[in-house]
Amino acid sequence: MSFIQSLEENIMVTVLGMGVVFAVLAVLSIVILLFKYIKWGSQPNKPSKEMGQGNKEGQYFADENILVEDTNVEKGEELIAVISAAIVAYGAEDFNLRIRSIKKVGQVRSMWAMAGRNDIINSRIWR
Amino acid sequence: MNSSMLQVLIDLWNQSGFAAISWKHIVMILVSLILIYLAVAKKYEPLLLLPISFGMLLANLPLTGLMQPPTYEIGKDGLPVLKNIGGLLYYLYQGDFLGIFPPLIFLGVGAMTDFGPLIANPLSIFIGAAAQLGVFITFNVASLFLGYTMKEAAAIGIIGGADGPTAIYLATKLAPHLLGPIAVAAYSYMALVPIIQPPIMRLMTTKEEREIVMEQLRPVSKTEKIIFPIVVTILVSLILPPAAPLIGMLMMGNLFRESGVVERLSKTAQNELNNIIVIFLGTSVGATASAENFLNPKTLGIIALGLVAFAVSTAGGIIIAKIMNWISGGKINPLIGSAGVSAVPMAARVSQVEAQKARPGNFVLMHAMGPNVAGVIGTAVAAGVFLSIFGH
Repeated sequence: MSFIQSLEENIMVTVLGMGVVFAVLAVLSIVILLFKYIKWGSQPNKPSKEMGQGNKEGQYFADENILVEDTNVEKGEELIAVISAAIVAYGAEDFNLRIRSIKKVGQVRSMWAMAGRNDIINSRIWR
Repeated sequence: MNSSMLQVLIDLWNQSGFAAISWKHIVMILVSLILIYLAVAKKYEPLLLLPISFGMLLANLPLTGLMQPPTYEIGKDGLPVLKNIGGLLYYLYQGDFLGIFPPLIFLGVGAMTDFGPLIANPLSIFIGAAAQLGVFITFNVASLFLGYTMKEAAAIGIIGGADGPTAIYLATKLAPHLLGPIAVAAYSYMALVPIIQPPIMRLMTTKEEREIVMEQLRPVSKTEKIIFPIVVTILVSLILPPAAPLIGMLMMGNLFRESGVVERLSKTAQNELNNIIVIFLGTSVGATASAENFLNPKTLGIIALGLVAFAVSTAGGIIIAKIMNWISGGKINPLIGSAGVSAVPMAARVSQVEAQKARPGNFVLMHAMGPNVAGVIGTAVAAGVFLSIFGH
């Protein structure tokens, strides 16, 4: 078989191969897209009414499922102490840092939970 | 007395492996020891690399006959009589040769996989399709320029799919003599995903693209998750019957998981059965890497081509993710494209780590899991295409 013939055959296999892969997965994609338009018997768990009220008067989510109340000053002070201790433990003393204020970032996911997840991912990247 | 004792000792020596060992055996033993070191000390895919490397060690100890097939002689009545029963690893290898073990591994993979992210974002399936680009590019390079037959080239190209069981399955069907090097290359590169992919990802994306925060995925109902494996099995098996053993087992395992009514079966598929098959598959695949099969220029070619396949597949996934990002008006972080190669969940983790580096707090892991699991289906479909064309 000449090189040109081999080339033709290879191109045919490649076009056919990639074409079939895309076609099969496209069909699957369309079928899966239709899933969300069908009313299934059981619906995904939605947040309860209470949890859905999110950032109302000092309530916020530390994680999707955990409701943390921050209504009294004592708990606020505890949180400040914990954050300050964490920053000092991280080496703030070496850099002569001063903590002037602590503000809550307006996001649903807790930074602590995300940091924990990232730690797990990083630790497993070379498992 | 002394001379007969000496003769016994000489006979003993002559029957030992030391008398029969050649430099090729020694090289292969050293290769297997290096792989054992990588598995144990560096933790490179140890679950598979350790049995593979030990199987390689066993198969290259001379005179053990572990991979010897049974031999027969013609008896007085003219019928064959069993002369030698054959080696242990020969029988374990029949599970690979007959295409039994890789689909059973897929059963466990299916039971361990959550296809929720893919169901939530079905368009991510196209990333899994584009990540098969390396498979076909490598197939062309190997067959056109490096002298491999088309069957061999197809078996080598599938390394780009980064799916060990599929690579083994296709190699046993199309190029069983290359099974050892292909399996070693596939699992080695899968272990090196965190090294191979990041430079390609950074090269092909801008900092702004890497910083894109993606919208949260929609919740997926239990019913959708149950219907999904059934629909995929029916559709893929009807369109591409040769892919049915892999896809069928993958989806059956997933149905065990999602149905919630056969927890015992799901756990068995994920743990005990999967572990048993991993031991048999790994050891017997390693045992095919005999000196004759392994120590030749083709092995070097497979190692090099495997890397090409992997890199091009990564690039293919990123390219289509960039296109999708462009079409969607900047809503898709192209870093999830590299997860289109299978290597579940390592490739998705690498996407997350890179996204995190570009923008601390960004969380694309679940978005990357969509293309990641789509890559498993895509690679199985690509293998099915090759089997349809070359499997007869």
